[in-house]
Amino acid sequence: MTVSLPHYLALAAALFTIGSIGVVVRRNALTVLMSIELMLNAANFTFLAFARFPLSASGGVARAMGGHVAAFFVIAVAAAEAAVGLAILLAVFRRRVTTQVDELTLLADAPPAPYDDEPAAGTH
Amino acid sequence: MDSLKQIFVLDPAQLRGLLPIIPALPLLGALLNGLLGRWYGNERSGLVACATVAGSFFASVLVFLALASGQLELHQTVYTWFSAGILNVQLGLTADRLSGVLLLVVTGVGFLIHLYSTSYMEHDAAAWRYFSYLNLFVAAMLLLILGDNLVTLFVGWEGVGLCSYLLIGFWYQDEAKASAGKKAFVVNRIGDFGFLIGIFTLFAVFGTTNIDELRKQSGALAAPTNIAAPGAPSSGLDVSVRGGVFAARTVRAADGTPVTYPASTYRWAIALAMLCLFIGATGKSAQIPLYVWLPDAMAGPTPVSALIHAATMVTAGVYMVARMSFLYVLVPQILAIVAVVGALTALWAALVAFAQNDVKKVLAYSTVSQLGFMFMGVGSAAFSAGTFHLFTHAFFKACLFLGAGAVIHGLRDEQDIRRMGGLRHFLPHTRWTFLIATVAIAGVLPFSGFFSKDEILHAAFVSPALHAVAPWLGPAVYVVGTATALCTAFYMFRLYFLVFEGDYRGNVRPHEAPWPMTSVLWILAGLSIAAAFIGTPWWNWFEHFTEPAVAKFPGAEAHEGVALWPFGVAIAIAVGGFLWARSIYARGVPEGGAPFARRFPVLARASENKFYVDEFYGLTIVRPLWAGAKALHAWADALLVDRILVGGWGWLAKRLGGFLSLGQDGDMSRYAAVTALAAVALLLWTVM
Repeated sequence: MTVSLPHYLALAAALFTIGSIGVVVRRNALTVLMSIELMLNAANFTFLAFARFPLSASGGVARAMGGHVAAFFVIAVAAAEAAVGLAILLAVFRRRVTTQVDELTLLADAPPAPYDDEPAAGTH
Repeated sequence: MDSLKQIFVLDPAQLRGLLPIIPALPLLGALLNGLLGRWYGNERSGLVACATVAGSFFASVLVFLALASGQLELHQTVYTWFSAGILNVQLGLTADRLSGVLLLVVTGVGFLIHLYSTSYMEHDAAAWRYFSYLNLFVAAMLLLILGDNLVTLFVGWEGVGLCSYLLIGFWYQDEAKASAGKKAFVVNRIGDFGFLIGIFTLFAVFGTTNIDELRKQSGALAAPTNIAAPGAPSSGLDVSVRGGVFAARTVRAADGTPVTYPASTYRWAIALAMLCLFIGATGKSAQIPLYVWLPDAMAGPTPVSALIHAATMVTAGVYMVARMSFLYVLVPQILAIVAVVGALTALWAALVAFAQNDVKKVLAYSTVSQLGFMFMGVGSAAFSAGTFHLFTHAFFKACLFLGAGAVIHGLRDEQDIRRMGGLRHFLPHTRWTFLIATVAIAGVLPFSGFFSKDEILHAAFVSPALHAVAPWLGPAVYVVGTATALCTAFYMFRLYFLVFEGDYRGNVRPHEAPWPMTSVLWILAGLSIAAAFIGTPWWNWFEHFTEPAVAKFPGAEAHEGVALWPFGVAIAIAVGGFLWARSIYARGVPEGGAPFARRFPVLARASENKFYVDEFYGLTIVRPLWAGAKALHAWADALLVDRILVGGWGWLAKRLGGFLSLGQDGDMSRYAAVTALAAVALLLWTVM
């Protein structure tokens, strides 16, 4: 059996799905960050797969190496993201003593204020 | 004489420049007093008020001299006020022979009353406010008189109404006075509504609101050939109408010639417009059915009653009818309505005046009655006769009111004539001037009221305009007017006897008014005598002077000599009224009331209660309106607008926002899940 493009892509899709499920279901922010790395690597995998098995022959060197270059970019961005993300996480932990994302809900809308359903009558 | 003329009569071209100054000066005074009066004090605001009106008076005299020396009119356009489509309103001022007379009355009597006020109001803490309003009134009145456009005239018309409201309610801490002001304002608004509709109608017909343009265009309608008898085939009119509904809808016959509307079509529209303008006049000039505000307006300071509610503002309606006379003569039916309303109002108010015990109330009803006389005059198409009565009335009624003011001032705000009497010993100046003015209004021979009233009655008797409507109408108006004249003499002498003759019945010690007040009284009394001599039947300078400014009813020829029999009737009437009043009231109110009051107690009580007109209006108009307004407030305003339309949208937005904010719970995982699912959905949508 020759490993061809669909196999690479299937692996990438599987990785991406695992990563995104991790982002959605895991409550620990650290794990969430790791899941994000997984998703980024899935993307890298796709880049490299298409670089290895180009769909058309035209394009030359730039075309042939484009996927590799993009993968390096993604690695750099992922490193930066991990650095910033961990730093934020550290700061949050110092302040809130937790890294559970379901406890970090400050961005939520303020709990609805109790209001009267009836508009004020006779406001004269 | 000629050299004198050269000094005083300037070149008309230069004089034109004076016209805007005439209303501008009092306006300046009003602004100064209103903005700075509190700071520089009452005494100086009185000075400013008098000085500005005196300046206006001086300018008016110059203008009047130019008019008297042959000039027909002076006109000055200040600027274009606004312009929309064919409606082009310029702020233009015209002094013609009619407005020239009014100018003199308003600034002259106005100045005297300002002078009187400086003394009358000296104890009032807020006199600066009073002088500001009074100046504003003079400015608005002058604008009303000078405006060459119905829109400008309307600005003045509303301006005087506003000042009237402000001054009636000048002592606004007193609720009764404040609500009297409100009543005047609301009743006037009803009339003004008619006035506005009249202006709109005229604009619709002629496409202009400029009075001079209207005059020119109505000239074509007034041409004798177009006054077709009812039923006669109408030839159609060739009117050079610039705009308006009729011009816009000119249709063409098959051969292309324009078919113009017959005269009757125009006449209906003009009749409607003139009727609506007259409704405005019934409000401003206190005629049936809108006269009820004027007696209540006596709540204001007495000089205000003299200036606004006797001499000037209330005559604005008469002035307006005379001003628009060129249109009124086209519709004799409306003129007849004017005359009949005037006659009925005159008689009605005189009957109410019989039984009033408040000195100002008597004078107020007397004013309503005299205004009725003026409308009798203009309604008989005797426009200069009506204006002449306006002119003489301004003097003697101002004198009467100011005399009453001096009495009230001297008796520490006592207004009930049953607690007066014998004041001739205490207030000699007031007494003599009051007597002169009473004699003038009663129509005794050499005094001004005699000639002006007599001229109106005579004009009504022979009026071709009334004759054109019904042959008996003129004599009927004459009879009602003559009966009213008898009543006038009676109630005015009743007032005089109860106030000045007999024995004093009050408690406080009366004192005569200070010189600024008495000197004004004497000037006005002198004018009440002198004014007669410019309008006698033998030398009717007044009519000759104002003739070019007012229209003539077609068919009205010059007076055919001097008829003497109405003189006899008038003199008999005046003397009869005097004797009648003296026989009853020479020694105060007789025990148990006057003889006729004892004989007809129901009638007397009705008269005392003003024939229950206020109650009737209250029951038929005010109460239903009040109930309707309350229901509208409850259903339309409070429920529909406030709760459903305003509150409803807020409620909806709040509810919707609350529902949507349920998703914004800050759970990052859910956000991520939604994002992911949305991305998948987007992807699927693009692929499929």
